[in-house]
Amino acid sequence: MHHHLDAYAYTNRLRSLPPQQKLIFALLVLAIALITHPATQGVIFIWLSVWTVGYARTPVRVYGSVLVVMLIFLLTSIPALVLEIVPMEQRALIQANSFGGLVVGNWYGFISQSGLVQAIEVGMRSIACTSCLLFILFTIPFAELLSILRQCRIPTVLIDLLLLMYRFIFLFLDVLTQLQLAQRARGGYRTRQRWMHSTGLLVSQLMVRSLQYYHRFSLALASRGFNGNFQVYFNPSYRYSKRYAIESLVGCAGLVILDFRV
Amino acid sequence: MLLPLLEFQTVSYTYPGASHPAIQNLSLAIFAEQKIVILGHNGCGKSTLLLLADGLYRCSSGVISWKEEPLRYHAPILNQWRQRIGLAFQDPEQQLVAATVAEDISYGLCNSSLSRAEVAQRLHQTLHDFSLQDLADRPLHHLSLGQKRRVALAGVMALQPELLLLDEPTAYLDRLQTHHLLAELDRIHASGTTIVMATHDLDLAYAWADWVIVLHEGQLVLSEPAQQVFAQVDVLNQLQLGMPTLLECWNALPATWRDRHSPPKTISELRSYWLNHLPR
Repeated sequence: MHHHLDAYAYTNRLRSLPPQQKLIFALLVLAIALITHPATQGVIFIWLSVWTVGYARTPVRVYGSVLVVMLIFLLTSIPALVLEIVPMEQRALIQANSFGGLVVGNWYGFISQSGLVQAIEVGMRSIACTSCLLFILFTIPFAELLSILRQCRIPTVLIDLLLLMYRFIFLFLDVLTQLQLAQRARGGYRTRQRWMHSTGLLVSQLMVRSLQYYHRFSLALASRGFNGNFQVYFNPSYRYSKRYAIESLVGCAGLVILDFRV
Repeated sequence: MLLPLLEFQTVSYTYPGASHPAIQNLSLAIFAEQKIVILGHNGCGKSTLLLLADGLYRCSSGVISWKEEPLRYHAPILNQWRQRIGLAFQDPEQQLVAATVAEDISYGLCNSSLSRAEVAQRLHQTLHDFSLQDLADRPLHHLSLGQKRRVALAGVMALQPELLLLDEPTAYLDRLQTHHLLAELDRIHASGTTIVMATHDLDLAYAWADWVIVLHEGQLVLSEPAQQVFAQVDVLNQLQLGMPTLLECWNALPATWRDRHSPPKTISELRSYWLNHLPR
């Protein structure tokens, strides 16, 4: 049995809340995060982390790990914003905008003040938005997200595709794990050369196995009467929480007021 | 005269690009309310036969009929056909198509022309029958193999087919899971469903089936009551299928002990027989 990230969406303490309530809340905060100042965005990050870790009881370690992975992607884009290079003759022009730099031949590389401000703005906005997405990831099961999309009259073909992709991600991961284990058991990743060879083999085999799987999956769909429309029955029972609704509304209003004061 | 439920008349099937047919001139009748096992080595055509029976493969020649009505490969007819004949695949992972257990079981129901209320009623009944209520909202990739197999079976049985086809249903299952599955199949059979199971497990076939079909290289070798099949030791040995362990033990007993008794079906029958005949 596998314990994937989405397991927390099915076992968290906010599971009984209607997914619509959680999704609207997260999207509202996301909208606020996109238009507010970095200080407000920092508060959004802390507040949403309290919801995800404190209220939903997602383990801090898991939440932190996913956040770190996402922040690594963010950090890779920061140097492009902060570092600038100009020809030596233009050095005097950017003196006021420079935090100090390095002369390399006929070029001057420096840390830009405006770039740094921009990096902080982008960084804070990304962190705030990431916390909103993580709240959705850890508290709303994918099946419930799809049901909301159905209610919103999103084209069926798009929802069917999302569902199939969701099923295939885990099957793909299982095949990947099995193949990798089989390769490791036979010394597949012992040296750099073997690593390259094994990785190539893994990718090609994944392709072959996926096609084989697709064929069998098509047969299974046909055997269960697939008629071009992926329909399932969905009738959940949720408990609406006044306490969480009040906190989310008051919190959002507070964020907007805070942003006006900053 | 009793009409066959499902009938194959000189059916052949060759996979695209293959030089030999996977099924060759096979004629076979399956009668209602039986527990049937298809025996044979890997690659003998067991799975192909089941896929042909469900209308998933189109036979190269011959006719497949349901209660004497030949199968026509048109979408509406095939949909009706697949509601009468349910197929559970060897790997349940291939059969589970939705995100959660309840959604997956409801998938086949939603594809039939049932009302929403009827879908809900049948879904709840199936969850109850297969003791899956606690797993109803669980995502499928969180289940163990035994649970997945139960969900796959439940998804097929929710459509209340008259004939249930099972491809190696006990593959990869441990002893306890196999025991639970067989108990489930006995319950399904008792409710009036005919069951056809493809397997290469002779012990399972001997203990469970009342009719046995033996295939070899895509051809029908035997289709007889289980007792008659397992009495043909020479044929089974010639096909290198061997004998069920229980029957081997039974045959090792002195001939005078066995004369007036039919072979035991279970280990407890053998034990009680043994205890009754031991010199006191």
